[in-house]
Amino acid sequence: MFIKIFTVFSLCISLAGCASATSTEEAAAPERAHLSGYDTGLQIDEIDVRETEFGALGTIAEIGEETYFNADDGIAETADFAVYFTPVRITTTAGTDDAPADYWVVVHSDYSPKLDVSLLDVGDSIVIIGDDLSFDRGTGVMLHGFRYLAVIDESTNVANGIKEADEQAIDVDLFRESFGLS
Amino acid sequence: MKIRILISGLVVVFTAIITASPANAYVTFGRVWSSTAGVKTPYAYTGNMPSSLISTLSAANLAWDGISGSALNTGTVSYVPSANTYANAPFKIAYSNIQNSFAIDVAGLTQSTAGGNSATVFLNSTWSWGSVQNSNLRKAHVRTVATHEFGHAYGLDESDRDSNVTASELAAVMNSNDVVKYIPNSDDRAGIAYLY
Repeated sequence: MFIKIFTVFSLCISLAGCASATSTEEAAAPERAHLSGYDTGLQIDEIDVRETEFGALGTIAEIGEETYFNADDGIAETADFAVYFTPVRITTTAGTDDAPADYWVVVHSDYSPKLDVSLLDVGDSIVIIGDDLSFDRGTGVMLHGFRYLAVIDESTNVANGIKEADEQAIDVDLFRESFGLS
Repeated sequence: MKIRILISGLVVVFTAIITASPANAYVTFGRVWSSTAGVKTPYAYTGNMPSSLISTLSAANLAWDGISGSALNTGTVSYVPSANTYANAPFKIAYSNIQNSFAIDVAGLTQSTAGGNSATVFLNSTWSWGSVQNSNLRKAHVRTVATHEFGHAYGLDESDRDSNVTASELAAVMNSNDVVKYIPNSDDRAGIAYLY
């Protein structure tokens, strides 16, 4: 019995060793910078579109591979670290006048409050409050930031934000009204 | 039989992992600074930081100094005219366009790595800085945001990110809920005492 238990523990330790070895190999990629923002998330009683933003309804058209930008891409102060993100392409179905028709957004990987890109799938209907400005981050396309990105639950007509701090299940009609679409 | 033993073994392993985790209310993402030796001094550069902010930023960093149960020592901001000195400092605070740099439009942002022994706090230069805190209006209360960001620079995470948020976590400096507050409360202090 003791030998069997010892075997089990040896197996666990070996597996842990394999995991460590894998992590070591992956460490060749630039070190991940953790970004922590003073970010309140979007709350239901504060739905608005700032002068520097656009608001839109749309569809997820494409989700790229995770990549990163660093000082080489024009980021001051970040020489030692890389900022990882997943580029996501969105097509607009309706929005404020300044909403781009087809554009990419940056979904940061290591950000507090957490952004969960796994909640997005190609074909999902979404609500976004995005930044008007866009930047090249070494991907060859212009990328927009966003303050709010949510997947619409078509069955209940509510938006569920992908940011941990966002209030959940916000009626999509509130966004339509805010964006001047109703 | 083998399966039962395997399951028992895994239960033992997982139990050990769970019991090793601290049962604390505060939220951290890991100690940023490996040593508590010396005073943690943020460097600001005269080329990108208004002098009017320096005394408030110093007060914000000093809020994390001398916390009971912690060996962390924090100091006033070192306001240097040398770009080289600033560039080589492990702990920086900058007044710059966060949106331009990171594609994130927030009042303050901290870049760090657990165990990395470096951190940079950014204050968004495109926001209005003064005595009002209102993210919707892009207005930032200097001491509130700076104290919060320095908390990140030491390894504290947003205080309301665990599954069972307490009143203390909601009232913490590390809760970015648009309320003016810059004195670390019991939750903030417990987090620092745990890390350092």
